[in-house]
Formats: sequence, C-alpha cells, structure tokens
Amino acid sequence: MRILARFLVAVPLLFVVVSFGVFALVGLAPGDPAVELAGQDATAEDVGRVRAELGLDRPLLERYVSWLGDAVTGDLGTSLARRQDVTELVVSRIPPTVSLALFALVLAMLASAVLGTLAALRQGSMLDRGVALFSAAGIALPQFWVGLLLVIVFALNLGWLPATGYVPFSESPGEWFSHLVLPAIALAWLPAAELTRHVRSATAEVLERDYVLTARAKGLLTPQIVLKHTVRNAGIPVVTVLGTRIAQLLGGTVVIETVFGIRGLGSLTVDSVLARDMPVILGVVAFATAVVLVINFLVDLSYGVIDPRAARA
Amino acid sequence: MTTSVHTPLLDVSDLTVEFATRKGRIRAVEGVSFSIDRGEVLGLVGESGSGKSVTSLAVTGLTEYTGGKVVRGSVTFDGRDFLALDPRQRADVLGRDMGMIFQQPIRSLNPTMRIGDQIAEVVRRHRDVSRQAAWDRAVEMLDRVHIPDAARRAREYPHTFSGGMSQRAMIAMALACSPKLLIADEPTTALDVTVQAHVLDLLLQLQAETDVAVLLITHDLGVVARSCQRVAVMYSGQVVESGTVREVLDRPSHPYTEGLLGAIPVRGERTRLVAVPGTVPPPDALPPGCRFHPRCPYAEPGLCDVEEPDLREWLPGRPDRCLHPHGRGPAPRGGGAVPVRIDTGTTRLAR
Amino acid sequence: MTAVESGGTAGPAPVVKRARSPLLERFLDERLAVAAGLFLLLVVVVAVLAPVLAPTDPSEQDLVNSFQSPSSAHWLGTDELGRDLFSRFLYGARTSLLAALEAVAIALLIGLPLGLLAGYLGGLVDTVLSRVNDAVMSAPALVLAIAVVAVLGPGLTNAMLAIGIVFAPSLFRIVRGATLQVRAETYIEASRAIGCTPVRIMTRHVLRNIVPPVIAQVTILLGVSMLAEASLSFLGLGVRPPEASWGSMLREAFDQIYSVQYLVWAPGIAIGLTVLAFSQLGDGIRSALSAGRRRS
Repeated sequence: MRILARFLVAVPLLFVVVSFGVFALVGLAPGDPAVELAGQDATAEDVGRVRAELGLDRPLLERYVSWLGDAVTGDLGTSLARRQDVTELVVSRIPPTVSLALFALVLAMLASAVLGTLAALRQGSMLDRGVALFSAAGIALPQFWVGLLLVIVFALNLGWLPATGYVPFSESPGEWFSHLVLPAIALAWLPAAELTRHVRSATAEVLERDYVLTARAKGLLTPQIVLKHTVRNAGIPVVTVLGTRIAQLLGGTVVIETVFGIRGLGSLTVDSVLARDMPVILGVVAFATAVVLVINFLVDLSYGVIDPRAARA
Repeated sequence: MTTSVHTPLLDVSDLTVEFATRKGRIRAVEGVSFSIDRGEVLGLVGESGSGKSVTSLAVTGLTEYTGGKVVRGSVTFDGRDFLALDPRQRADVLGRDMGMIFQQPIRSLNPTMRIGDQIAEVVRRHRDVSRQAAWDRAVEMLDRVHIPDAARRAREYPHTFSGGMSQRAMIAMALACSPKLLIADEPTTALDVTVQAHVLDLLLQLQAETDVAVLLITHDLGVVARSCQRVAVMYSGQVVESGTVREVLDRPSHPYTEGLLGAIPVRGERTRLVAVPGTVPPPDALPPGCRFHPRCPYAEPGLCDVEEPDLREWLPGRPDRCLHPHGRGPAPRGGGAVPVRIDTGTTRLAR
Repeated sequence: MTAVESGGTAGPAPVVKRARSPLLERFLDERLAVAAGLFLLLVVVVAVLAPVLAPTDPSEQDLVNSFQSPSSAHWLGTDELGRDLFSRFLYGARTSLLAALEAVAIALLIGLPLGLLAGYLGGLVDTVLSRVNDAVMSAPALVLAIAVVAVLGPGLTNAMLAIGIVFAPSLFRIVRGATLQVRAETYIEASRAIGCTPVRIMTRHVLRNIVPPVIAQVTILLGVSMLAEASLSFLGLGVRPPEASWGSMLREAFDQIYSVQYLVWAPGIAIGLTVLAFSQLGDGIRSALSAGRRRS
C-alpha cells in the first residue's frame, strides 16, 4: 500500500508542477491577450478594462492559484476564441480521442505481441528480418504520412473506408468503427513498431532462460511454453515501456486527428495553439497531464499483478 | 518390443555434438559411448569443460535449444532410436519416460508460476487427468521429497524456496510421471555443502524406492563412489574410461583417472585453474594425438602425441582410451592395493 | 583452426595488425550502418548543393502550369501554385536537415553541460537535475513541443527550439551515464590528485572520453528531430510559407489530397529513408561501442 501513499502525494504534486510550469510559460508569452481581445481601435482605457475583466492585472502566482482552485472544482475558465466554457469544450472532445487512442492501443499491443513473439521464436529467419524491417520502417516513417497513404489507398482510391470524421458509438457502432479504422492504424503504427522490438528482445531473452529449458525437458510443446512461461516473464520489461508509449500515443493523436478531420482533443490542441487561446491550452494540458499521471500509476500497480516477486514490496 | 534384462535402457553410441561459434564449428563432445541398464545408476564424471553436461543435453535431444547439433552417433532409449524421432514424439517421451534435473535449481524454475502448478503441468502434459488430480499428485510428490507442509508450499512461488528446497522441487517435478530414466546434471554442485549430502541421500532413496535408472553427472568422485554402480570418466569431450565403480576407482585403467584419484602426480597443478599446461584443452585448440598427453606422466613421444586413441577394451568390460600399457595389467600396480581415500571433498576435481 | 578438421596445431598464429582506431574498425563491420552513413552523405551533399542543383527558384510561381504530374520538364511535377516540386524538394532537404541540426544543437547546449554536471558532481545536484529531467521526459514529446511553440509563436526557429528542449533530456541521460562511467576511471582520480579543478577535469578529460556514446545518441536524435520538425511543419507550427521543408510539403500535399495525390510520395519517402538512415547509423555506432566493451 506504499504505492497508494505515493500516488496520493506524488500525483497532485506533479500535476501542480506541470500546470504551473505551463501557466508560467503562458504568462511569459509575447503578446498581450488583452490587447488582442480589445480589438483594433481600442484605447488604452479599453485595454485596461479588458485586462481587469480577464483578471490579467493580478500577479502571476495569484492568478495561478485562482486558476488551480477553479480547475480542481471543474471550472477551467472560458475560451478566448470561442466564448465557450473550457470544461464543456474539453469534455465534448474526449470521446473521439479516447476511442481513437484505445483502438490504436489495442491494435498496437496485439500486433506487437504476435509479431514480437514470432520473431523471437524464429530468430535469424526471414520472418525475423521482416519484422525487424517493419519495426525500423515504422519508427522512421512519419505517422501522418502513413495516415495520408492510408487515406489515399483505402478511402480515395478503393473507397472502402471514410477519409474523415467521427461518429459516436451511440449513434452507430458500425460507422463508429469504420471511421476509426484508418486513423487507429495510422496512430498505432509507431507504438506497434517500437513495442514489437521490445517484445521480441524480452521474449528472446526469456527463451534463453533455464526455466524454459526445464519446460522443454518436461516435454512441453512450444505453444504451451510461449503461453504459460514466456508471456508473463517477457511482459515485465514490456510493461515498463508501456507507460511511455501510451503517453506518446496521446501525443500522436494531435497529428492524426488533423489528418483525419476528427474533432478530438488533439485537434483542439492545435487549433488553440494557432489561435493563442490560453485558457483552452491550459485546460487541455491539465487534462492530459492528469491522464498521463494516472496511467503511469496504473502501470506501476500492474507490476504487482504480473510479477509475484514485486508484489511483496 | 520385448526387452530382456540384457538390453540396456539407454544406449549411447559414438555421440558427437558440434556447436557453431564465432571461431567456427567446434566439437564439444566426440565419440561418446556408454549404456545404462534399467534401475542402474551410472556416474558421468569429469572436470568443467569435459563435455558431460553437453552429453546429458544431447541424450535428451535438448542441444538444439542451446545451439548444438548432433552430427554423429545414436541414442537408443527403451529400444527406440530416440534422436531419430520427430520433435513431437521426443516431447512425448521427455517428462514422461525421461526426467531431468539441472545444476541451478532456482534458475530452473519459472519465477512467475507457483511450484505446485509447475509440477502439475508435467503431469497434465503426459497423463489424462483432471486439474485437481494433477495438483494432488504435485503435493504428493513434494511430500515425497521431504518438503515440509507440502500443501501450503505448493501454492508458493519459487523465490520463497531455498536452494536445497528448489532442487527437491525439481526432483519432484522430474519424477512426477514415474519416468524410467532420471538425468541429473550436477544436482548438488550449486548447493550449500551441508545441503548437498541431504539432497544426494534423497536421490538415492527415491532411486531405491522407484528403481528408476539414473545418469548422474558430477565432477565429484566422492559422490560417484557413494551412489553409482558404474562410472564413465570424461576428458575433453571424450569418454576415456568406464566400468564398475569398484573397478575404476580401485584399478583405474586411464592415466587421467589415476591422476584424479591422486595415486600418481599429474604434470601441472591439479587443484588450481591456471592458464598454464595442466588444464583441459579448449575444443578449438586440441593437442595432436591423445588429448591428455601434455599432462600425462606416461606419455611416450612418437606414440601418444601422434596417434589418436580409440575407446578399446584393453581389459574385458573396461573400455579405455589409452595407448600406453602403463600399469594396466592383471595385478594391481606396485604389488599391493593402492590406498584410495574417497570421501566427499578430498577427491574433488579441479573446476 | 577448428577441431573438426585436425587435431589442432601447436599454438595461436602470431597476430599482426596495423594500429588503427579499433572503434572505426568495428564500425566498418556494421555494413548496414556504413550504407546508411553513405546515404546520409548523399543527402547532405544534395542539401548543400541545392541552389546549384535546383532547376528553378523554389518559390517561383507559375499558375498556368499548376498541378502538372511528373514530367521531363518538372521531375516531380508542380504544385497548386505551379512551383517546381523538384526544386522545392531539394531546398526542402536543406531546410529539414538544417532544422534537425538546429534542434540537436540546442539539445546539446542544454543536455551536455547539465549531464556533465549531474554525472560528475553527483549528490544533490544530480538528484535535482535528474528529477527535473524525468519530469520533462514523462511528457509526450509532441505535446511538449507544441506547448513551447504555443508560447513562442509559430516559426521554424521557435519550433526547433521547442524540439531541442524536448530532446535535451534524452541527451542529458546519455551524457550523465557516460560521465558516471568515466568518472570511475583511474585517470580521473589521478587528475584530481595533481590538483586539476573540476571544470578542467570535466572539460578536458571527461568530455573527450564520452564523445562516442554522445555521438551515437546525437545521430539518432538528428533523425528523430527531423521527424518532429516534419510533424510540426505539417501542423502549420513550423516552417512558414513560402519556405519549404519536407514536412510542410506534405502539408501542402494533404491540403490538395482530394484532387491530386502524387504530391505525397517524394517528401514522405525522403523523410522515411533519411530518418531510417540516421537510426541505423546511430545503432551501428552503438554496436561498435558495445562490441568493444564486451571484448575488453
């Protein structure tokens, strides 16, 4: 239960650090939002008024604390560009991003588990080299380019799948799925490539172990050995990297959502950056940080489940 | 398949194993032959690097998982050409008719699986029984190897077991399906000295109870003297002498064995591993002729450094690999029985 | 030499070798890495010679001839404003490569001294720096870069600054690790014993000896920075028109994707191959390094 204590202390702390960091960065940004909002013909008085309205005349720390206080209760302010409640805005953009991210994660994990294990079982074979090539290519090719190719081939030329948009699951599961297939593949591409490498090396390492030899001496067949002996043991080092891969995946949604015209958190981030819409940027960052921290915590927890030796600690 | 008493359970003939390394193909084991009858305990003794572990892996067909290849020879087990079987058939035999235990018991157990499950696994692989029945058998076996509170221990993970207990668990696992042959690769070497004797006693006890044949690989002549009926001595990848324990230890017919027994000095140090003449030659730089001649006090220039000796029965029933007639004869050397003190520890070979 | 053939000869054959950098030799053994290195050399040459090799000015518009497919007049065709894509491609190589170099230079500027300090001084300095480093590393790279760009405003230099900041932590780790290893060596103790100041030790002795692993990491970072620049430019946060980088060319391709599709190929493949080459090169350097350590 030490993990729980760590969670309760570390996570809020990290959250405060990161959000303050962004808040301060934003405060340092060149340009004055008050000036921009007040408009072209504003007088100094008008600008001053706008500034007071926005609370920008207060000191940085005070502003941050007030923002933090509001944020914790769920009030993230109002978007400068859209005149919309930021919390509402963020929440409305969550479903597409989460669907996309989960879909991609599942794809990536499945692909890497299968390819990595097969490659480890047949080291040095053509399959192994093919997988290594796929891995290298996956890491080197820009994700959005893969997305573009997918759109060109499957949407524009073959017409099998739609090129853009998102349909909520509640509206139509079939449409939800077909709209997510291409973006999920594009998003999964990179983590799949990296995870495959990790799975392969972890599995190859485990296959060298003495207890695998024992399993063979017991007459167990390869599929059994893979399933019962290697998976759990190879899983340990892989889970270690899973946390960072998930964070990376979330970052990838930014680009993929742009390519596929999905109105999720990723595209919201880009739009708000281009529009210098600070409250929204802060809101998205706050949300993303919280999510990443929770995920990392969950990953730490999972060690106890997978590795009995860690459970005692 | 009728098997008479005179057909050995395991017959290894001219076994030769090659490994592919950066320096090319090297032979870790060459022309190894020996046999084990049902219920018999054969010791395979030799220094580190003599090829004894590789031999044991080759007999079970497991060398392919460690990078080795059997390029010559045959292994006949229970009347069948074992190595000629396809992998699936061999996998059916392993665990069921042949059990194996290894040198490092803690490493040989899966750390993420409960002990009981690991034993039950081999039972369910080879016998059509329920999960519960397999688990019960696992607990029963743990009990037979004298692990206290077996039912509770079976639910634990290997990291809670000590070295000695892990080895007992391995023994339980190897014998769970009542195999005909148990191959024990240096089962006590990695254990504490105090524990070694207990584990060895356990092995012997179980052997007596189940009449399982045992191939016991060790570097310790004391162990051989206590537990084996017959012994084969290995040097540099070859069997250099074999026979009954009494015969080989009382009247060795190969200079290497003599050296081990301390009856005559061997050129070079016996108990220290140093990079000077006096250690087992590496497989990629073997001396010409007899592999032992650089360290042999009887070596005859022109004979021993030129001709490679075969395994031949100079004395009936006692094949050995020496060309020199040194002391080998109907009567013991020196006109009297050579006093040979053998107990665990004093005749330990250099490692 | 093998026991299979004969009973063996008396001893090892005498070894005669010219004195040559062992690292270089081991590296040359990695054929793939060498091929990658040669490819990169080609890319660099092309980028440097872009003004010479390009048939036209990359920003020169020719609206009459827009959307031409690849032909002998325009090797890669023309874009929506009639600009010659081949010229843009060549100049794009230049921009992308320079951008990557900028980003890595910044990462080095930040990561190298901090890593040296943390590794050499240890103690509180190390703890604080490492924790901060971990915190920065735990944020997704792209998001962090976008955040920095959000503050500074879009533009290639700002984008590269952002990327440099984002990748500084990984360099910090490598430098710190290598410094820790070198610090344990006896010649460092000797230097201290004769009274060298820490700064002198760090700059003269440690720095010189951590060069190989740092180079390996820098190589890989160059590739990754190139990808990051492409992503940022694709989003419109990097290169400003009419300047071209491979990433911005892909954005333009994307904008036109419903009408023409050939715009997508060249820049994408170019990025992929170049990044791949960088990572193979970096891997090759790393392998050569660890092979040496294994044998010694």
